Amino acid sequence: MNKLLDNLKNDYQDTPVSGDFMERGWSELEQRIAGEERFRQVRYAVAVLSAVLVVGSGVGVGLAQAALPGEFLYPLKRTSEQAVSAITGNKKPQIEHRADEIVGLVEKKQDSTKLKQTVSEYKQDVQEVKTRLEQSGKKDDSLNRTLEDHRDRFNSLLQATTSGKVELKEAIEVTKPSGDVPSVPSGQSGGEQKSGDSQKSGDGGSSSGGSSGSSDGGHKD
Amino acid sequence: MNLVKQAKKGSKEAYGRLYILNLKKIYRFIYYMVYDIALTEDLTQDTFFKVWKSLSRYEEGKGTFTSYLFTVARNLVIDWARRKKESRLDPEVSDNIASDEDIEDQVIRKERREQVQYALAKLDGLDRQIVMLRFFEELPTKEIARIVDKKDGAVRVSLHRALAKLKDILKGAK
Repeated sequence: MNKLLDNLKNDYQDTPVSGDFMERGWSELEQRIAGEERFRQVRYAVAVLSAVLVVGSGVGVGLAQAALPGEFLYPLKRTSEQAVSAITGNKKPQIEHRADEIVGLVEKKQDSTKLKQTVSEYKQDVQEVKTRLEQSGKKDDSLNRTLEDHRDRFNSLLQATTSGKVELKEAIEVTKPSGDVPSVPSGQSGGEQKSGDSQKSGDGGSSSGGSSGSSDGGHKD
Repeated sequence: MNLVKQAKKGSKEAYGRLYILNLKKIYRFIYYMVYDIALTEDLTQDTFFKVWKSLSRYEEGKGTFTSYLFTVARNLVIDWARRKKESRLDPEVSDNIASDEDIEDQVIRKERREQVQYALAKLDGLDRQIVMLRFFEELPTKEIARIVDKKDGAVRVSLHRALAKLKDILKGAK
């Protein structure tokens, strides 16, 4: 009986590996392993590249925050700005950026087309936020403080610069509290704005109102 | 340094030698569970491929490399059987013997293989695996227990029962 089992064992162990599998088996497996290694390397490279892109874009966006219109990183700044605005629904960062750009462009005496465009966008953004606030019936003290700060910066610049005065005055106009702006008939704007400013913002407001009042009315949107 | 250690360090040459050393064992173990040559080739390659990918997890202290291969092969066969919802147990064979082999040799080999198939096909799946690993591949029962995920004692009982049944089958066939 054991002999039968031994024969069976021998037969089992003699089971042939089919066809040319013995020869081609390893080369096929080796190719498969090589393919897997390549895939692993590509996966690793993609992971590293993604990390670099994430970090790099973060750094790029950071650097872009200081970019002025016409500069290399400016489009990145606008894209990131729009993304933030779309997610948060908050336009204040855009207003801050445009104000910084207006100051930067005037200080660098950049061509007036870019300055005009930036001031126009600034006015549009500020007006949009103000309109939204009016419609909701809410007050936003931080927006008022921000606009006061802008007005101070624009006014200081207006006195120090020889170029971009008209654009700066336009920008100053839109920073004034809403109650003053829409109802202003062109001929009376100076006095009303002045009193509005002095009520809300004290010294800075009154001086700015004085400096911008006479020539701004005609330029209002 | 042994081949397994070299392969674990990424040596494909060492793994190639391990492949040649173990190919027949894994091939026939799979073959007598699926009875299909093309499928056996695929599952054999899958076994070695999977083991290559998981070499870093293989610990030499927890069993031999060969029994690790058997474990992976067995799991792949089980997965395949699950996917198919049924494991093929009929001993019908599709032949694919090398064409340059002598015809008489082919016939003898075929008869012998069919005899093994006939006997093993009468055993249930687990008993068959235990018989192949213990009686044909001469692995210690402790290793087999690890491969089939059973206790050592349970393996011995199954082996005893399966061998008795195998003897009956062989007697009947004679």
